[in-house]
Amino acid sequence: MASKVGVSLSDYTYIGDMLEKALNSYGFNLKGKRKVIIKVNLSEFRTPETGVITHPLFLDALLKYLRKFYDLDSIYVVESDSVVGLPDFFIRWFGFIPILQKWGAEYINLSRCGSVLRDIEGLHLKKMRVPEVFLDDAYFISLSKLKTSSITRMSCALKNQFGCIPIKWKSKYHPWINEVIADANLVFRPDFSIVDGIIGVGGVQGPSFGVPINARIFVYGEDPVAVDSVCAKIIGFNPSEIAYIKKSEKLGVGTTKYELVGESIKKIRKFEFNRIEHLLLKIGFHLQQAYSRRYSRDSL
Amino acid sequence: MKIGIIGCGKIAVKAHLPSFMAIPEAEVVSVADIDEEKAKYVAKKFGVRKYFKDYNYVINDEEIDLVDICTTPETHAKIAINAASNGKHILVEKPIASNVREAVEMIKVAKRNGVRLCVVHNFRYFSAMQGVKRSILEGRIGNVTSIQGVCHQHFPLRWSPRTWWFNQGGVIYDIGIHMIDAILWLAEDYPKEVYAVGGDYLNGMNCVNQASVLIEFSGKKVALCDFSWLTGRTIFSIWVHGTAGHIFSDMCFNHFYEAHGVPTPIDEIKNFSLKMFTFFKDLISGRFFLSSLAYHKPLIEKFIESIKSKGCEPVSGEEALLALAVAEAIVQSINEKGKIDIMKMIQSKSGDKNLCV
Repeated sequence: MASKVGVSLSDYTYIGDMLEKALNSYGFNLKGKRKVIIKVNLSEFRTPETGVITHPLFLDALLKYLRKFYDLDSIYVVESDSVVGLPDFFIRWFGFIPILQKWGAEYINLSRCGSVLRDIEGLHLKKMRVPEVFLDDAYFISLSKLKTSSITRMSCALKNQFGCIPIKWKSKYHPWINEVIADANLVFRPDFSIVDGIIGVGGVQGPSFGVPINARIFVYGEDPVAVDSVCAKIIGFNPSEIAYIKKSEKLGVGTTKYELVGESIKKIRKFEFNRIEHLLLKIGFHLQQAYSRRYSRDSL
Repeated sequence: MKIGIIGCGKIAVKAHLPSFMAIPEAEVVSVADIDEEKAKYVAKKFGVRKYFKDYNYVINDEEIDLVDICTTPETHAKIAINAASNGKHILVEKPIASNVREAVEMIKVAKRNGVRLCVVHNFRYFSAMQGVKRSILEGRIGNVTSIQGVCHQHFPLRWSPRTWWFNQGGVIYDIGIHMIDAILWLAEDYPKEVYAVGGDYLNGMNCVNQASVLIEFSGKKVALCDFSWLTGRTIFSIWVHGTAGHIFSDMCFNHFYEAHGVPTPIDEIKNFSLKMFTFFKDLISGRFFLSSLAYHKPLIEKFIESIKSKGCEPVSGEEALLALAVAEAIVQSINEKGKIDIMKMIQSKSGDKNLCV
């Protein structure tokens, strides 16, 4: 059965109204939950207009919507540490604090709150640390960015949950990144996914150093696999080309079959992902890795 | 020459130790780090005989001739002054110290004890930078009139927070100090005044992450530079303009070219071919991947030679002091929104009104 995926056009100036319209027409519903967890993307030291991290205005619009239509006990905005991600600093430096204060939301660093070790039937991981905030009966919204990625080709709704793994050195999972993304979605499956592509990231140096693409869209739905399948189409891939989408579907996270509501994705701007350039970049990266390993006194 | 290294962080492991290992007349005999396990690991990895938690063991070791300081900048002065007082020559990572006052003190103590002090401003040893200097000295662009530098680097996320906010200097004290040194070295002139605009372009980072700077020299030269941590791409390029031509250099590709007269397509073809030639040469030799780390060795080698031959240090304490003074003046100019006189600033901060660099 196909999952419903919405696509809407907007820019950051009108995102409040457009998000409200989009979510209401989709039939967004918290299903009686009084706690909401929003996983944002603060994975790199890049300013919001680069498209790399969550835009504060999008978070502002989402919090406004939640406060307007639901009587909630608490809203948690979460992110975890990574090798190049220091969310405790980024949340301040990139202007999120006034927004959190305005809507009474609480920021939680998943790497610094308590966590429990849980057995899972993952493709690569058999145990995973689950931050305590996820143990509550809360509604989980994944608020991610629409980006290309030099490692996984794209980074949208499903990849955002990789950031729910509370350990800092997540990069150790990079050799099995597709499997681990699927595993993370098994544990942290979002109830609702929103992918902000108003300014996305294109080119082959994504997700951190690509080209900002002013695509003026956002994609949303209850099934993160279907949402990512639509995102793959927007970027210019066939969903079957993206390994973590296939693996997530195999694990039962969702389905790649989708029913599109809202805007047509044919109108969307191209994301400039050149496959030959990507291949050359990968070769260069492996050369650099090989050279670093061989680096010795002789190389000087 | 027997070497003792203090601080076993990334710069010591990736650049200093491999450089010393590749110099036949140098022998690293001890390493020290406040993290003893790290010192032990580094000593084992590089076959160093002794390792310590307390750096005083290194500077009190009679066997050691040269102390290499690879610790964080705020510790440079204390270690260097102790080492110089014990008669050790000093090699210190950039910037020379955390402020002008400490740098002046380091230079004075080194002179008083008859030891040599050299600061690792290794960007001078990029072959492109050497080429630019050679062209200027040969008069190929006439008299230098102005220099324009662009110095952008992605924010160093792996630094410790204490280092980030060091002196509120941010990008100026990180990669910027290399650009300042390169400009002063190429200009061969004393910086007279500095005017800077910039500061913290984010919310509450409390250090300079973006700055545009104008440096006026004693002669008629002027330098304009742009520093940033925000743009996500590493750029280290310099235009030198002279009365008879121009030189452009790009340290990311270790490439430079001269431009004279009317621009022609042949110029473009020649420059592109030269760039590709340098790129493939560096790719094959591996220098492309090492970037600036490959240029510690020539500087260290020259320093050891200068100690033996009693010649000039490749980068003297005074030169590094001037670079630090310009960096400090940039931050001061941003805060005070006005021009800063370099010499007056050095004299007032060092507390020595007769000091002349």
